[in-house]
Amino acid sequence: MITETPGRSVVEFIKVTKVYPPDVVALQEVSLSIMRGEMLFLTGRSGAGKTTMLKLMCNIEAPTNGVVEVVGRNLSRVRPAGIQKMRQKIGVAYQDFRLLPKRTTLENIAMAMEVTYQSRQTIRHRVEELLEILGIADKRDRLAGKLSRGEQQRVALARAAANRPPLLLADEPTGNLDAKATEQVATLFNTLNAEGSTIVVATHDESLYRGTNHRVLRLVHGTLIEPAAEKLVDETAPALAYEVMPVTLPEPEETDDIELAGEPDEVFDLDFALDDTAAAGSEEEAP
Amino acid sequence: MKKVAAMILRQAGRNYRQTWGTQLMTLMTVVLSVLLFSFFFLVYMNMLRASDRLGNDIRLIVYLNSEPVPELRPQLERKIREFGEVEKIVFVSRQQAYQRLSKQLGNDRDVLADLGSDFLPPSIEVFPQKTLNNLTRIEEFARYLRTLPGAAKVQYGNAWLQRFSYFTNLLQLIVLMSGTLLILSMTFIVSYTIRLTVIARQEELEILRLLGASSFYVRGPLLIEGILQGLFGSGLGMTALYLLYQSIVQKFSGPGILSLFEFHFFSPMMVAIIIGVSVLLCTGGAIFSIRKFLRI
Repeated sequence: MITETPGRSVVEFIKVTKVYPPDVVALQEVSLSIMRGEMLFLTGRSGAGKTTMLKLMCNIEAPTNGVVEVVGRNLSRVRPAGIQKMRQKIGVAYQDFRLLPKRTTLENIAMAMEVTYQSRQTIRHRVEELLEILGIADKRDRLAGKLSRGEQQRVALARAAANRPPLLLADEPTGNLDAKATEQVATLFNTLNAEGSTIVVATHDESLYRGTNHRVLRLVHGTLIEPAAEKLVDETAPALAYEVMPVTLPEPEETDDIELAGEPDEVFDLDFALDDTAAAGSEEEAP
Repeated sequence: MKKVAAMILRQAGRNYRQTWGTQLMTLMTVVLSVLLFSFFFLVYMNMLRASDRLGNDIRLIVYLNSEPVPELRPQLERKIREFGEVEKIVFVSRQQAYQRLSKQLGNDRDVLADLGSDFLPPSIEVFPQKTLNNLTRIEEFARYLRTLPGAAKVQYGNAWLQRFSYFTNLLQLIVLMSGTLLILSMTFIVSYTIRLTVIARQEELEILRLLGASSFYVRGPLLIEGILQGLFGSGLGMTALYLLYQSIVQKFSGPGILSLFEFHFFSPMMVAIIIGVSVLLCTGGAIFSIRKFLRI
């Protein structure tokens, strides 16, 4: 299934298949374009492949087959230094939060800005702002390990949003939140999106995307379903039953040989919100 | 640049806070290693200086059976100089030897009254050059002098020189051993500490990787950790040695072995070299661990 939208794409999935050893199929021939400044909701049941898609976008996982491109660059051909710079520009809120329990809320959020060497004043100002938006300002000096799941989730979100990333990926961002907190998260997404960030939210929280004008895609057993085709798939079948089906896939392409690829790498031009001249698919490097 | 340096130092500070127990142990090990090595090295350096001074006083005395006739003297002198490394040759007649002894006895010279002025043997005093400071070479020279025509005996304080030489050699061995210990302990202990830091911060390093932290951002603080261990460890070690030296000098001031040896502390240059080498060794240990155990 291919979902295409005309315009400049930030993320491109071209027939992407992901199989976890030994033979669990997480994604199967998924093709997708996510446009600059878009807010996209990936929905589907647990195990449908939502998290895998996000992991592929930020290069935590590599596709078994197919190509994942971010601003026109094939991620499997980018050198480690390029991946590192790219990650500074992609904010990711992980489903398991990935916080340091012995650091305070403030310190956990500040980490994302410290790696980009921002001044203490800038960091403090931005962190305070995010804590305010997400309603956890009173928890700024509390150790992350002492926070509730919902609070931890918001800290993870705040860290992902700290650098005002051109691309923000959020995995089940409201899984542990009440209605009010969910609203606060939605406000944060809307603010970032209005500022130009492209946002991809993997969720099965319908309240987050119900009545929205943004694109909502459904993943069913590792396959992207267009709304019209949705009814053709029997989603009531257990996801695992599909996932453990043995499949025969072609050998993955050798993608490590960066030199042979002859592409420039290192820096991704993800600052599209600020730099309009950067076109998707461009091989130009940011300064 | 200032911001980057501040951030790296802040990270290094965090590392110290997180593993302060291990850091303290490492610091103590570095201090003790430096103290141990520099103590023996200081004693060795002073021994070398003392042996250098003693070397100036070395002379070999060849006692002769009979007074050499004036024609024979140039031949003897030529033969002695053939060995090389000879500074000065002095012929001492029976009469001159008697006068010297008489002068040395001072008021007690009366004891010589009944002996006559020719009871002492004539001799040749050979003053070797300073380059002849090796005991084996001196012994070789003495054996050579014994072959001179009319030579009865050669004296050069060999027993004392031998003991001094053995002691210097032993000290040299101890300095080498403590130096090796210094190298091993510094590189291994610092490398081990960095490894522990890496393990203790594994979770954080993984998150930093996901946040796009540069290699320098992660490695920089660990490198600084190694450099500071070397700097503070050796600095404290040298301070401890100086305090030890001061207390020894004060305790043993006045007539005694120290006044004989004229004990000196290291020159500022030598202190800088020891600290510099310590910093290099600790940095080497840190680099080894960073390269081996850090995956980012």
